[in-house]
Amino acid sequence: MTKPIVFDEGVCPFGFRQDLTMTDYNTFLTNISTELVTNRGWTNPSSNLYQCPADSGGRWIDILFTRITATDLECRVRDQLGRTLCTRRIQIAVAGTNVNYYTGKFYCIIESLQTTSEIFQAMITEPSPDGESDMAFCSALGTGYRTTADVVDGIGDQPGEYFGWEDTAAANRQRLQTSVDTGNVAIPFILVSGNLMYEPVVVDNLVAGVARWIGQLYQSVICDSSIAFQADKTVMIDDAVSATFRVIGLATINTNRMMVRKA
Amino acid sequence: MTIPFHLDPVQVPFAYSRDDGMTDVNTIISTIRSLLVTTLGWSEPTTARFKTPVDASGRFLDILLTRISATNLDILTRNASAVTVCERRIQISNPGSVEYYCNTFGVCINSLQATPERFEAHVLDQAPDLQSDNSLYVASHGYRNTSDVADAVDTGRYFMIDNGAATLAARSRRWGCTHAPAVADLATAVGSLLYRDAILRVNSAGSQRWAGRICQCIAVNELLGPGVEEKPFIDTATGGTFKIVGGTAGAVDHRWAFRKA
Repeated sequence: MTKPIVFDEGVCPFGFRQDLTMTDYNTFLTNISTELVTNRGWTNPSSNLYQCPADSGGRWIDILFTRITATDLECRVRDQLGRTLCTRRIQIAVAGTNVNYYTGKFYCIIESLQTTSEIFQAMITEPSPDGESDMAFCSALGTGYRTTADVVDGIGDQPGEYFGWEDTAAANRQRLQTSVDTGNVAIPFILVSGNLMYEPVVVDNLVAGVARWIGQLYQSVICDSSIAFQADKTVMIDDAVSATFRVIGLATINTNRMMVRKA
Repeated sequence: MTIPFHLDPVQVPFAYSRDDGMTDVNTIISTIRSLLVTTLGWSEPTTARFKTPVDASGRFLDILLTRISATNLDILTRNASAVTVCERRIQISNPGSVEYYCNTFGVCINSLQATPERFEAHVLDQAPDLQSDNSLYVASHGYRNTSDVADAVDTGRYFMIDNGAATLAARSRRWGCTHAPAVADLATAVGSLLYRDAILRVNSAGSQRWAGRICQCIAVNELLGPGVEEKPFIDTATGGTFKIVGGTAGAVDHRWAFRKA
């Protein structure tokens, strides 16, 4: 086999970091610079604004992080056309919260490990079999747990729930291809033997009003909901190559949760 | 890449044929005999009962073809335990045309009526599980019941042994989205067609589980009509020709295409 592009660390280098008991997002603002700029090749055009490398299709995203308070972080996501996809927030507890950073050349996922995880995500998709330039108009995504009023509105807490540019405006929708049969029954992501199944995270977007697939999320898989949040699993990504993915705290949709590559 | 087992012509040899101007379903029995027994190594233990080769894990199915009338064919499918999975019928026009998509582990007979009438029986490829892991690997269906009524025939609906009993159910993976406002069919944002496995689920001891893939069959965009031939890659530099068979796409977002070349 050939390693799928979506898992190829040569195409999308990745890394994982955890900060324990973070009490002030100033810590995050320092460390995200290390993760994105130093380790993943992003640039830092202005204070707290980070831009991922452009891919061969000229696609990129930028993220503007703003410390609202010590425990409240705002994140704005734009695509390479300067279109704002979303501005969302995540919080940590006053007493301190562990924060996980899943970063890659083309994505950034931050998980604040509150009782219910508060997660921010921004990425461009891996669009094969189409070319990267083919999808440049519609393949950047972003979301976060809270609104800019700090309200938990329930539109950023499931795998596949993303803001994306839909023809004329950014919109939030559920976009994930899940484990469902043709009778619309959610089927556990498990084989008859009990072996667990894993698949790339495939997402869609509206193009001219019609839902169409826009690719897969780099270094991420969907898994069965029987796997606990924060569990690490070793998944084969090539004939003799495995990778470690961790279940992030997004709520189950149908029978699926989302895992992001850790090692 | 390596060709997946269920699409590999070495692991799962296949054959395609077509009869036109048929006036009697006995022609189907004759052609099936030639394709399955002569070409693909099936056996015929009793007259018109055709049995797949037994694989290394002891898996097989058999089908019994019975001529009800000149235009009406009854087919009974059993698993390796001789349990009946289903008994269904398909009819032909007079004269009529029939296409045959056969492989070592399965058969699809597609009668080209105005609304195609299809019979299928398959030993599923259970990879990545071992083929010996369980006995829930036979799926079968046909357009009509034994009273000749066309019922519940949309793509992806099969009889399998669900928790000990042969049951008809919608079993294939739905490759579209389940959410509003529109179904994402098997196409990308710029219109490229996507192809997916024909993977089926089964009730195993009370729990729904994914059972395996139909050999030499793929799911294609529902907007492609029956009779269209698609040539997807099945390996890095290897393509295959798959022809879309009849059957209502309906809620499933896709149709089946079986290997022709």
